[in-house]
Amino acid sequence: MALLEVSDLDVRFYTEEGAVQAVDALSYTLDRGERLGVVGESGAGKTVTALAVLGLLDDPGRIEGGSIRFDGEELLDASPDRLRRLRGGEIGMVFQDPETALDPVYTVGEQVAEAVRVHTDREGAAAHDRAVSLLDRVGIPDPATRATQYPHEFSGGMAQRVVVAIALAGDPDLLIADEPTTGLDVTIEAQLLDLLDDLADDDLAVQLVSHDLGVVAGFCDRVVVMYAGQAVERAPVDDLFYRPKHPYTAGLLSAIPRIGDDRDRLPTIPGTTPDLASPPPGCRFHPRCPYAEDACTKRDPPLADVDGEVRHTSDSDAGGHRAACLAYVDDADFDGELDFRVEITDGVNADGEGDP
Amino acid sequence: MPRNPLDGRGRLRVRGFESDDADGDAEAAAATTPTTDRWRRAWTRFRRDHAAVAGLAVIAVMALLAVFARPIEVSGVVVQPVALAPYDPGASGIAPAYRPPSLAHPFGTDWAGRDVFSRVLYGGRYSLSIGVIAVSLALLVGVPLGAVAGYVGGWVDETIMRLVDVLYAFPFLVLAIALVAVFGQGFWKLVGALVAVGWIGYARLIRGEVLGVSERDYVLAARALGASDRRILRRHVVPNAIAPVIVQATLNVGTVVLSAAALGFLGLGLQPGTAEWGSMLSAGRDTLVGGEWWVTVFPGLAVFLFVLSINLVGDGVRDALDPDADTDTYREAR
Amino acid sequence: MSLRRYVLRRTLLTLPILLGVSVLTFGLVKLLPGTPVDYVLQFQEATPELRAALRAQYHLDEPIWNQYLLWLSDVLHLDFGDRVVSDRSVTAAIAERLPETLVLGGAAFLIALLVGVPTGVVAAVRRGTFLDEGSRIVALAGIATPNFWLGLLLLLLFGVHLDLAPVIPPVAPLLAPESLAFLVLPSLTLGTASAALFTRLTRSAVTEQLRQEYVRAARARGLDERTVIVKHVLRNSLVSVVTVAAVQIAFLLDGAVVIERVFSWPGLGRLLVRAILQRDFPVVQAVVLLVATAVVVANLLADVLYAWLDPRITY
Repeated sequence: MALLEVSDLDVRFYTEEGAVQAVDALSYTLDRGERLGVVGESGAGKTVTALAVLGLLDDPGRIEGGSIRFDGEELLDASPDRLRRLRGGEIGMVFQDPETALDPVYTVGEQVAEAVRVHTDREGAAAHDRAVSLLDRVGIPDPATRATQYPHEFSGGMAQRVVVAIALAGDPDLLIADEPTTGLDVTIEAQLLDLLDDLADDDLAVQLVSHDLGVVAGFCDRVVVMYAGQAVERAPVDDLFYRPKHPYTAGLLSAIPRIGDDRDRLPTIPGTTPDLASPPPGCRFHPRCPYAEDACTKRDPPLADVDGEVRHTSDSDAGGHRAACLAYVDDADFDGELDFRVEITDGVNADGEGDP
Repeated sequence: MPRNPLDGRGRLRVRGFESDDADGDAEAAAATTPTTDRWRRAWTRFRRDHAAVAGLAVIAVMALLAVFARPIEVSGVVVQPVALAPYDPGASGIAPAYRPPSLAHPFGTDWAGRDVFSRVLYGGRYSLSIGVIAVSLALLVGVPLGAVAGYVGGWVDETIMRLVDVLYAFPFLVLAIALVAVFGQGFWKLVGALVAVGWIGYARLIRGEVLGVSERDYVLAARALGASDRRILRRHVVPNAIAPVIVQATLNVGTVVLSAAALGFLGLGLQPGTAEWGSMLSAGRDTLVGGEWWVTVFPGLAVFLFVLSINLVGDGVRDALDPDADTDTYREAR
Repeated sequence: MSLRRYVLRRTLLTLPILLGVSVLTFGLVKLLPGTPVDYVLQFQEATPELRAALRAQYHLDEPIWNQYLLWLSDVLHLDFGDRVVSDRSVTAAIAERLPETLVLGGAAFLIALLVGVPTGVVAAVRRGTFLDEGSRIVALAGIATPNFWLGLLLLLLFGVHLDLAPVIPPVAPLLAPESLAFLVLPSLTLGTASAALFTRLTRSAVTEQLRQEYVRAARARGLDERTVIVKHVLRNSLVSVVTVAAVQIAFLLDGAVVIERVFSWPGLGRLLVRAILQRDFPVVQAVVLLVATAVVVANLLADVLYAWLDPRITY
């Protein structure tokens, strides 16, 4: 049984301008010790998904449907008390901006110890000692002294380690990291990822939310690509990067600038992400897709197995490669061919063909 | 195949995803909804705030009542002939003194046998005009000084701000009282005192805004694009900086009216016997033991109603101009 | 820099302001038509010897800088001269009234704090509910109410119609039970507007804090809502409350002037207004100076408290 099973998740935000579908029928799973990447542009629904798992959605957001099962337990039915014990306990969360995720008026040591006190039996000095050892575990030098300092006295990278330490206080099975490296320098980012790598090796499952494909490629086992609140592709990491099946994924990959590129302009995916209050009819990506056809404006493609079989059930099984494109839906009125492919620039393509 | 195929960055390349075809669709899809002028958007937001609209209506009614209370004459020409007030506010002895409210005198009569209703109606002229004039003049003094201080900086800034700091040390009313003590009483002296105390708030506010806005990225961007200083000021700095000032000014009309009434109550306002709301309350205080509540309730109610309405409008203006700011950074009663 | 150095620095920075305040207060009287001598001589026989003596007393023949410095040195020795209307020293008159105003103001401040802050917190936490909307309306009304009107209404109701309270203060020492009982109405009146302001501003501060990421992070750690609010949000909101409290001092001083007249409370406010009507300028000068100094000191204390509460400031 998977550690985390999200099925058909529906999240809506009720704003002044109407209801916005932030997450639409999202399904994915995460096994013990596995690393899942959730990628997409800003506004795709990645963070909302992460918050929904822990029940941390603020008004005006509300979970309207679907199910979230953690270790077999349905979280959407859980009592507030159970959810509270879950947060920081079995599921830890790391946020994007470490400077704002920490309370500025309490010392770092106190904030870690606080988490320790909530999730373990330790109190007082014992909790403090554990806090210091957690700070040590995340690689903060001279942890005893640093524990007496305030968040603003820490650099971004160090502060993020503190946030990780707090997330570890309850000895979690799952760590949800929401853009943990976005605000950090590249070298600090690498260090933090090493730390996460180290922690993940201890059988900690990680859900890494990011818009940085490079980070995801280097860290994750499987990836879910989100667009406008929907999952558009889901695959093991190799498959995603070498054999992308959805035009959006291909677009994202092609947009990464390359050293030695001989084109004059940076390639982009034209247009902008749709307004979630009134998304485009049919496939949400069709206005920006070079392969779009008439059928695409009429039908919203399900997350189909790219080997051709259509599965309409909310089947969120781990294996397999799926993409939400009519090209893979047998009974769809789609004639064209998605003729993009990945090439390795030393001449060999993904399937090993071409001159070396 | 190695576990991390992308270890050697830059080796992957996607072929075939050519964006040219999709340009037309994307551009069409990205066809922007027309952006509405910020002031129009603010007005729409304001209109949705029922309390604020109600407040505006009340103020409008009070203003109309004040204007049409008694005829207005300019150089002998009767500009406004309507007299909503049944009696001359200054006419004493038209009725027995201290009569409780009745049909003939809905608000009763005061110690001099004057009709309180007429006086309250007429009194609106003083309060409203003092409020609007004092705030307008204070804006005329404070905004330029603050803007200059913020934009020019240097010793000009230092001097103005030191002056502001010193003036801030005096409580509003105490300083106004001191000024009245020195310069005497009367309408314009009262307005002058209120202006002298009131300008500092705006100066500080606009200086802060100008300083803050000048540093914002969009100003830097405009400069990088070659926009002239004047253009930047006009199109970027001023419209953004002016919003909090508008809110503050609106709320300050209430503060000024309260202060003017307070000064009137203390006997430091207009000529004694003037039909000004605060002064009327002063007389009420002197004869409190008699229990003639109508002399106290009605003038005070007028002040209360006006200040409440203007505060509602001020809140509405603030929410309209800056809907995300739930912070009361605007100090109401100071 | 450490807290001590910060306090020192801030204190030094207020000295120029105090200096400016003294210059302004001194200058204000200089702007009067005529000279202090003329005012004193309203009440006395104007002989040439008396005139000369008075001119010397007020140093009117010295250059203005000297006048200021002499006046300043007197002030620093707490010598404000003699009253115009009588021979009593201004300092004595002030000393007599100061405690009365302090007690009134103190009581009002406490009421405002103890009523306003908790209401604001509850309103922010229970945002959008009846409690929140209700407190907003009450707070709005509280701010709009002229305090002298409220005082008069209360006096009318309790003092005259219900005959529950005396209309003028009892002739008894300040801390006697009758006096303190009398103080209830005036301090309630004076505290109302401040309480309303505290409610609104606390509500804003807490709402602002609730929007911060660390609140969500705290919840994500599994902390219960009460700990999140009381331990984290409140502590962070305190800094805003402290700033507001300092401003309220000035506001309360303003209010005291008016309320003292309403309730005939023999404090500094009444002294000030009487002095103005009597043209007793040494008193006006002294009271204004005192009040402004109090405001500056209060703001300094607030700054220090702010720095102590927020570890980011002294860094």
